[in-house]
Amino acid sequence: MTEALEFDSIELDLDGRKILSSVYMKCEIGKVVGVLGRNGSGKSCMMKILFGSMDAQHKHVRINGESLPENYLRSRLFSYLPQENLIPSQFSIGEAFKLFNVKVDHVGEFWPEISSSIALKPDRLSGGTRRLVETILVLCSQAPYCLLDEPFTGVMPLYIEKMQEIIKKVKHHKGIILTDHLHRHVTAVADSLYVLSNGCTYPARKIDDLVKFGYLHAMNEGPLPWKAL
Amino acid sequence: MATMRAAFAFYRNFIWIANAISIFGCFTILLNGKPTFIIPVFWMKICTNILLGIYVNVFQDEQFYFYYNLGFTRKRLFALAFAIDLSVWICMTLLTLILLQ
Repeated sequence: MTEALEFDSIELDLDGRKILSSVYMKCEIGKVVGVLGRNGSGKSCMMKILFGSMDAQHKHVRINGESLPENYLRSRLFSYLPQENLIPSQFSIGEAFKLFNVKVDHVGEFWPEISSSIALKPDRLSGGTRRLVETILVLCSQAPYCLLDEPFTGVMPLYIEKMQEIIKKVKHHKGIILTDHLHRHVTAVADSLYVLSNGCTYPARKIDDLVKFGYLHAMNEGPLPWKAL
Repeated sequence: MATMRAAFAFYRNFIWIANAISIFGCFTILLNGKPTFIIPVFWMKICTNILLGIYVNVFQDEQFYFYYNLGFTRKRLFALAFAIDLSVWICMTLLTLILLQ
């Protein structure tokens, strides 16, 4: 049986405003799940709650049907790429990889150029290179599930292709949940897709669903590289 | 080992200022000449550590995702970093007391 992560009943109120109310998602090892949603729809909050760094009024997270304990952050089941920078500026890239227990030689198989960045502090890298390095760090960590919050934003197409290639390679032994507003890049790698709208998740099976949930304007869209279909 | 490596990596955020405060404390004990002066210096150390903690918590909070990924909660991280810092302070103070005698 394939190992599967499921979560539901996530409830989040911020300052009396309901952000998340009826969220259900399933992510199996070997699959990439894409999450799309308008700005402020709660995608990042959902990721943080799932990761364990943000408290929710209620949540229920299961792996293979077994509920996870209250504080599972310590168990390192998830690795998370936040929207912001991940690697603190006092570390070199090499030190960060060492702390994450990721072998640079292993990363070199995906992206040989890493060797030129290894001794540098993250501040010395360009924004796009830093994002690529941080995404690789998260994807190559030992956690079985990876949560990527806007990995493609602000990154040049060449690096986006590289990220997609790495995602496709590592997904064989990982479950990946991915969100980004560059939705064409998300749909190109996602095996299944959800739209987060009004605090609820809806499975999206065709482009009309994205229009229906107010994420896309039908007139503006050409054919999507829709892997999920 | 991995835990201590990560905790020490976090401690590096304020290693210079924390050690400067410890050295200043030892220097004041030496100037004062009385071993009992350790008590106010200890409280100064505790108060400055709390202030440093608040500063890192508020102004450098982006970095915590890195440590969350390593399995550390904020509480655990601060507890370990302050344990390291207090150990360093105790060693420095003991050396100062030896110098006093």
